[in-house]
Amino acid sequence: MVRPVFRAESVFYRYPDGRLGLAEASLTVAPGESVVLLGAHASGKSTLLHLLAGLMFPSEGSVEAFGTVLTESALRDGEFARAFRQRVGVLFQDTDAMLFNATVYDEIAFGPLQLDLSELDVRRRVDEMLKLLELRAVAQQSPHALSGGEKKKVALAVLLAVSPEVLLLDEPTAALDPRLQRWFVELAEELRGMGKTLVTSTHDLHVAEEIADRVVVLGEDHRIAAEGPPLAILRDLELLLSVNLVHEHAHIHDGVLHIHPHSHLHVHEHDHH
Amino acid sequence: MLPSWIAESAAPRPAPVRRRVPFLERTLRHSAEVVQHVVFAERAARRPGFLQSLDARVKLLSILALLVAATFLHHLPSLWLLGAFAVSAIALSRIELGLLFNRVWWMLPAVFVIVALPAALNFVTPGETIVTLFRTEEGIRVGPVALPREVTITRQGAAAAALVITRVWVGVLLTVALTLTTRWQALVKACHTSMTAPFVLILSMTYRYIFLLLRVVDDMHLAKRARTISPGSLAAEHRWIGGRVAYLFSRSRQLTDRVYAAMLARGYRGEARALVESRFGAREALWTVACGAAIVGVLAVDRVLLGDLLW
Repeated sequence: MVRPVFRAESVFYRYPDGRLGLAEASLTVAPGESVVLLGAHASGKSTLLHLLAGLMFPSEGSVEAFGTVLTESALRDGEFARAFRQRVGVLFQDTDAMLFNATVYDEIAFGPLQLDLSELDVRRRVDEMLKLLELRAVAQQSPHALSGGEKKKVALAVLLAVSPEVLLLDEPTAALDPRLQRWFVELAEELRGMGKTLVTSTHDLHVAEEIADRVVVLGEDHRIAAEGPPLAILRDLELLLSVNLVHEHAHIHDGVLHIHPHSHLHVHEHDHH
Repeated sequence: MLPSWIAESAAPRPAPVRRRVPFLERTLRHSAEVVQHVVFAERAARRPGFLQSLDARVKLLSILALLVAATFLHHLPSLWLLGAFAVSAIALSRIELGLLFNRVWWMLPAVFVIVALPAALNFVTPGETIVTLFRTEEGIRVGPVALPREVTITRQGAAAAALVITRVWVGVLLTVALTLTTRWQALVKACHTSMTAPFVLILSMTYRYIFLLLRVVDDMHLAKRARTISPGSLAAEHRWIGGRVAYLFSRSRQLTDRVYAAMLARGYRGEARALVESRFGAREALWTVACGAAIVGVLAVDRVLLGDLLW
């Protein structure tokens, strides 16, 4: 049996002020799998991603990565910490926090520099990323001067420059225009084709449908409400309504009042006649 | 269901006499000026010019050498020569001299009052009197310091004061030449050594995030202005400012935590590393020789030609 990349067992997370962030979450992610964490705002998607990334640690339960339990001491120093950070890349929702260098060029170079690559290799990787993501024109600009879409592109370039096996993506399509959303979906497809493991948190049903092998739905009670293949999950309107991913929509059509669940996906199914 | 009063538009209220809150407006104007100042300096640093084209590290080290040389000069003409060298390099760099002098002049009165004027007085630098400022029969005590009966400006004191002012002026001129012709990122990177790496990282991150926080300040102010129908009392305005200061502090703390998490996630293990570009081509060689010649030249003028002359 192939060893999972991540295994979370009955994880609870409470914030320092006592608020519940995640409750009794169990999840296994296999190598090469693309898992989408789907949920409304504040359902615990980002919390679960941060736990998998070893940036937060469970209040109860445990999270394993590559067969090792993630604890503060395991990730403080040493070979495991180094290998873990190299193998797992995180795209943060707040790109302003993620992009902390003076220029886009330095930003992309930051990760490869931590890998002890030669200067030539670092520059080669940075140049390739700038070309791939069409960021050459802004290479010497400060991240604060970029648009939201450009910041997201730089953040992805930052991740890819380290070439991690696993990508943890927190709301990657938030604040992207439709063209960039499409671009991201195609990029995710390509990464899946390369055998990368993706764990993506989103509330965008389109993205979930297109990039997921498996969807894990988080409810507003911070518990995992369901998991399964994307189509089975996305067609379960009752489930989506209960976790606040679709809403009831009422309108009059041909003089008849229609009330139906509504999302901006193909699940918008009703008969007007 | 919306409450019915939403359907009624309130009649506009007569505008009350506006009470100004100079502190808030001034602070916000200054924050906007910081951004403008930086954008302007960046534009100057991007212009095609001689100093702009030089490698930042070469420029930093050469200007440091010129600054050190300035401290060894004891005569005004040699300091003027060094200043003229700096001004010529700046003129070659398409920086308007007016802008440059504006940046340099403002600090002279402060230097004059705080450093130069006391140095010119007889109780600090005794010597030959040029001007008598005042004379008292019994003398004056300023705390533990007893002033002499006659307070004068001495020739030796005036010479020392003029030297201090000119040296500071040349120093500021050289520093402004460096900062106006070098992009901030390049300048910070030029300071990168294994010893300075953590400081350089902190400095560059401070610069990166100060704009984010300035934008938050600006947005808060705009939002408040958009929602202000009638200005509140001065006390209410002060409470608002206090609340926003606290909010900004809390926001910057949260940001610190998120940035550190992002650094950890990207493999940061407490060691700051950076790609530092350094080149030494024909221009850098020419500039280094010019600086070397200028330093040797002004020191020769200072020590050999001017020798024991007081000025």
